[in-house]
Amino acid sequence: MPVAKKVTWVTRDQAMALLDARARRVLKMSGDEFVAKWKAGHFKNMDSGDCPGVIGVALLASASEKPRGRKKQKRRKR
Amino acid sequence: MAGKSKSDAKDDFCGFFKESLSCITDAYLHPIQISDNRFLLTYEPLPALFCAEQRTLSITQLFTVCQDKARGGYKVRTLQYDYSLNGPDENGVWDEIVSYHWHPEESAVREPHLHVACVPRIHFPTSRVSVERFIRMLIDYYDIQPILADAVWKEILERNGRAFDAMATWK
Repeated sequence: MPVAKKVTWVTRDQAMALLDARARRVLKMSGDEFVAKWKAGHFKNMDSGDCPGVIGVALLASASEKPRGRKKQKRRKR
Repeated sequence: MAGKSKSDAKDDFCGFFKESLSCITDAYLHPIQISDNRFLLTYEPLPALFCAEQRTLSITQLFTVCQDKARGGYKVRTLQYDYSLNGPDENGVWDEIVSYHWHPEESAVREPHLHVACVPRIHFPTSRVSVERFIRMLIDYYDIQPILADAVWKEILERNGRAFDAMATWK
């Protein structure tokens, strides 16, 4: 059984650099360009048959999404 | 692949996952925290594999951590995966030779499936595939050379494959 070691998690900024490298190699576009098109639905329903490697880039692009959560709202003074 | 805390569960899962992949590559697998409870493991750049032909490995695993209702504590729950073996086609263009996918958030095909380069548009339905079975297939049928001694890699893949079977809530 592997010894559970404390893992150092890559930050969102570092992940975006990985996405940029992957998108440039696979799709010949920047990570930012991929994310914009991905959010616009350009790659929806695209798979390996249409574009090899696109799924790996799309999964990595999920790192570009801002953490979801409720915004803190200021309390109104009574 | 379970832990008393969320942190233990995800670190433990990473340990198993990395150990299984260490049978065929010593490349660094990046652990990425996407949000409070979404994590991703991936290679970048893609590692070259030991093989008579040019081959690279794509692995991307998106997961979360949830309560383990059966055993107590916490466990990892896979959200999406992409396991692919890549190589140049007859024109020298890099292609996915064989890839196992499950990406319900990314396409209309929400079930796990297989792509084979010679019939790329077909999504062959599969059960959920563990990374251990994918690695074993690469070794057995795609001539990928393990980088660990036979007794070691076989034991790792069998042990971690059993752990996957024991923890998986669906296949």
